[in-house]
Amino acid sequence: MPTDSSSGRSLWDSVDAGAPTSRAERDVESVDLKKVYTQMKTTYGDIKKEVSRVIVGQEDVLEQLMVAIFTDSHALLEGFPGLGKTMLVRTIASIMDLKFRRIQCTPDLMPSDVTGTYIVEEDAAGRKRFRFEEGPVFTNILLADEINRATPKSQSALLEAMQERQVTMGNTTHKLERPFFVLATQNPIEMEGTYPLPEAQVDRFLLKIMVGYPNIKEEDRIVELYSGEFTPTVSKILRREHVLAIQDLSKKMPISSDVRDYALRIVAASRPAGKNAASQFLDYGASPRASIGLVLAAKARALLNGRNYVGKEDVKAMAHPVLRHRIILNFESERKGMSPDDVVNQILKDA
Amino acid sequence: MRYRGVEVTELTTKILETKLVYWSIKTYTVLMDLIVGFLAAALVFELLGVPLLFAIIPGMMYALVQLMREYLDSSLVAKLEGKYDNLDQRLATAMEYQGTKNVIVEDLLTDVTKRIDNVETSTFLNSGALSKKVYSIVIMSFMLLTATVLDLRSVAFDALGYVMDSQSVQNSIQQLSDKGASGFETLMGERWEKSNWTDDKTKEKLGAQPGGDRPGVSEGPIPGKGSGTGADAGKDIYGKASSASVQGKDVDFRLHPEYGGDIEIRETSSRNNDRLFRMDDVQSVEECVDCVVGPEHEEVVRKYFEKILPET
Repeated sequence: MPTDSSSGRSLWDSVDAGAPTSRAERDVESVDLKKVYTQMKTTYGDIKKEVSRVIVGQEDVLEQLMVAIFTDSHALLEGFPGLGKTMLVRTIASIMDLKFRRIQCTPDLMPSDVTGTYIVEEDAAGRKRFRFEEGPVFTNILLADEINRATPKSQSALLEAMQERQVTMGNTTHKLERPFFVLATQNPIEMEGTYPLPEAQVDRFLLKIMVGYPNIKEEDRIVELYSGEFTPTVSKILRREHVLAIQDLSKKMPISSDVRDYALRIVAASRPAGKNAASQFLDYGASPRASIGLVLAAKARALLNGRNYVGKEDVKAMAHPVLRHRIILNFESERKGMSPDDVVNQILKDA
Repeated sequence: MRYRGVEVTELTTKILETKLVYWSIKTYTVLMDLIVGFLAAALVFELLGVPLLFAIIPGMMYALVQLMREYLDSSLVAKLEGKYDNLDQRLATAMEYQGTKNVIVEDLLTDVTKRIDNVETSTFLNSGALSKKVYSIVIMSFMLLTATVLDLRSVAFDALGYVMDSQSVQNSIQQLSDKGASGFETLMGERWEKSNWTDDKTKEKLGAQPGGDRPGVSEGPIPGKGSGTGADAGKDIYGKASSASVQGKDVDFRLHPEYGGDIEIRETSSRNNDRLFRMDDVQSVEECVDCVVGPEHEEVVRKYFEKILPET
């Protein structure tokens, strides 16, 4: 157990061991919020340091993933195979003292494979009864790998759990434990035999994070790291209570009405109206859920960077991952070969 | 504590203090502008002979223009933003969240209060412009004092008069007058007088020449009696009987009747009553008891009379 007080892992000791841990709220109360807040920047620095032992580069991706986690939301990672999406999520799960499960989505994945199912059990007296066997969704961090390969029915089962944070089987509703977040991955190629997520379901992911190729220097480091004798490992940095406390703190982050207006202007500019960029390149704009998401993401980013206010730069930085999967390009922009990010750039100019 | 519906916290107090400093500096700058404008206008007014009190009007106008420019240029927050990274966003957030009990907000309030405490007064001052204004005030004050004490305006006009009176300038004017044919030049000098001759008699009596009796620019100090102006003017031709101006120098002289001849002396009262003095009537040197013609002047006097009495 890490106890190094010079690093952010000193947070590890800030939890009152005697405090009840049955409920998330009590968990948050057991943590010294002030200490968590004052050490936030150091903690994030330590997270980056630990992750960098396994993942080379991808700092923006890491930041966006942490934003998703600390806003108690879900993220969709998209990138070509072999870029370390799954490994990144696994590493993040490893540095947090949280339960982690993984689902490899395939067309034959059943909803019960996600949510769990009732199985018949026979007791010592020979009586048979149904017992609920929890599926992989009963965890803290769920990695849904290649989510677009699952059938819409299975996707729906997962997405319902994401939205409601509960699973209903028969007459019984099973609450999911907090924190709960789904980090799903998908790749934009090999689209044959896949089931792209419908827009309404994609909207449930706070962020769509694009994972790009590393540069030559980073790739050289990756090769060196994974072609050697030792497999890199990471230490745990955050307890479950810390994650909940940080989620609580990110909601407390103050944001001025001026900055909030800026976020709203950005989302409004994504809706086709008049002669704006959206009307030129988009069929549909972002929903109010995007406005909420943008403000939440900006708050979490400000907290991660150890600031005590939300700046416009936070809103701007989070505009792409929040909006890119919530806007629907029209024929004109597709004809011109524009990506959603290009359109978001135009929207930012408009705002 | 609440004041006008606003919770008065340490932050609001600090902001009010900062605003006070800001406006004090603004007032100081406006005063400087007023002084600069006043001094500049006063200098001009001093030369023009306008009462200096009126210089306050352009001074105030200048200060007003400068104040408007400053006001339009930037606000307090913008000035702070220029020097203190993102202080405006912090400040706006802190103001909105005052009174909220929250670990981050409390930290923000403390942070902003500290930052405002550290805001240097120099942030609101444009030291370069202020230095220029101070130098301008010092220099213009000195110039105004000099102009007032030395009565620079009179000195300037005297100097102009001196220049106009100087021989070289006069000569230049004369040359121009002789050569020139402009309307202005023809109104003065010999040419003008010649142009106004009416008969042969007046032809000989130019105002600029001995005996000239017509008014003219080049007329001598006694109207109609000529003798010109400037260094060659016969300033005292009717002064002491025993002196004469020879080659620009006043020398005493005494008539010597033994040389004989007549001297024509014209009267100022009537040009027709010219008299001829017989040399016999004049006292000789020997007869003169008070004769004190120095040996150094004797030769000069002799030549003088040789000139005016060529027959002797």
